[in-house]
Amino acid sequence: MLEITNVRKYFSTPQGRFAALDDISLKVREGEFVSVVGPSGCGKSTLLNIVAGLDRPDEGQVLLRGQVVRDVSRATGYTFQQSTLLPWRTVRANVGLGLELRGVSASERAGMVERLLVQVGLEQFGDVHPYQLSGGMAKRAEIARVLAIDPEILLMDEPFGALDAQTKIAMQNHLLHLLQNFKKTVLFITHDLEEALILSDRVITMRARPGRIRGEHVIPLERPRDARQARLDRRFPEVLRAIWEDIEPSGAPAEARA
Amino acid sequence: MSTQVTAATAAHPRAFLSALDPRRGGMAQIVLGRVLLFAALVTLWQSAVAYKWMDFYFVSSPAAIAGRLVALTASGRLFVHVGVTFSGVVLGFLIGAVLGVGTGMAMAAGRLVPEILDPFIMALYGLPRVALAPLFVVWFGIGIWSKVAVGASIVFFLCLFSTYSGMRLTDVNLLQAVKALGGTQRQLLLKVRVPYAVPWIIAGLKSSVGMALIGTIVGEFIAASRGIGWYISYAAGSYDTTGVMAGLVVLGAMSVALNSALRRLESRLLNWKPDVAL
Repeated sequence: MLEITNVRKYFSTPQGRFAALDDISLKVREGEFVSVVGPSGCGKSTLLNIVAGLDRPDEGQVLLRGQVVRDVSRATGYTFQQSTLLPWRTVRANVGLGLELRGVSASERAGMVERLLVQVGLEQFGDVHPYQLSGGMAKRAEIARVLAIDPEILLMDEPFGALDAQTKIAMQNHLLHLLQNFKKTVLFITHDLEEALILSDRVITMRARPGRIRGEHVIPLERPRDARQARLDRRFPEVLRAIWEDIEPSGAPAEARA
Repeated sequence: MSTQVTAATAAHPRAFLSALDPRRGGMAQIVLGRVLLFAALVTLWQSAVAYKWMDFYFVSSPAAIAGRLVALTASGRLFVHVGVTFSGVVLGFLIGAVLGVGTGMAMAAGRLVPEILDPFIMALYGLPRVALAPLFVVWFGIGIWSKVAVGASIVFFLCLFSTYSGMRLTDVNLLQAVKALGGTQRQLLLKVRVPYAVPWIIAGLKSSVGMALIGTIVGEFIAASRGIGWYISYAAGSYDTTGVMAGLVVLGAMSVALNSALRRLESRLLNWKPDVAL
């Protein structure tokens, strides 16, 4: 489905050129949920931007269904960490935006948007403007907006990073539940290891300076999953420990080493 | 008292908001306050003249001004003057706004063109447009169009800068997100950058209305045979303070009317902003 091969990306700073991404190779199978975790500055967001076609690699290539990604592809849907709902549009008009951009007629959009609002539990909030939504509701609207264009692969860049702990768990559950219905392939970026573990089939760990893949962990938890139950699973601590060990083998916090 | 408010707030956040919202419970108080303030000022002014604290010759009096306005209305002359000035203001405002917003958008959409045009625009912007008024009279005659030109030349730049800045400041995250949803460059312009600039454009329009009024009045001072500006200047020439004051009152009323029209437009267009739409 998605094949990232020997991708390198360099950034120039006054101190010289450094590799934000150094020889990254990764495959994601159809229907798989893969998370990439790592400390800030390890290049995970850059990687996602390259997959999305918003940025280009300096070396290597990204294949999506065998096609080289050169520009924003119709097959990908992207969600961001911060809210990117257009504040002057109602929730309904925001959810329909992707379809509108693709030239889908207003009458055709209406039904699809309504169904999605129900799916994400926002059917009461279609006429509301984004400033009136809570953080979790805004996230659900964004997920509905990206599901509306029916992408083959969802690229999610720390979508729940700005939420409080309780809302975050609710959103993780919501996403797990939505994916039961929509069956999307997901490439998920986060710095929250527990989140990665709860949601994913596979967790890829990265290290910073240079941004390299460190390891890979298959998550043994069954589906369907529940975000709260998963945390209490007896296998949870050992997998978590293994992932931690990957990212910070010395045991020192990443910030201290920086 | 304070515990009551807290309890009400916890139960009904909207009840708390409505207490702060002038368009609900507070509107009557605001209107009453305005009427009282107006009455107090008029009474003070009238008494100051009646008790000879101030000289009628220099400040006239509310009663005399009201009498003059009634006389002007009865003779139909007020209507003529207001009509001429008002059309000058509205035309100057509309022409300047359409050209200014349009040019601002075109410049924000391009990369090279704004760089090329920048020194020319700044040079023109630096000229005091009021000083150009005599030139406009030469070009467009003493009729309404020279006044329209003065007003439009001021409004144009205000609208151009506000539109241009608003579009240039568009949140990069919104642009990225819409691009990722499949937006073309043209769609990014029309569906993100232009709507993003609307608050800036409205701010520009609001400061423009007053400027269009000033432009028109200056034009009428310089060369005209009708209009409120002409009437004020004519009254001043014959030491008719009451006439000058009557003209100023009419200008004040016009300014209030134009601003409230724009405010209505603003609250309609910016209903998605928390501070306007509560």
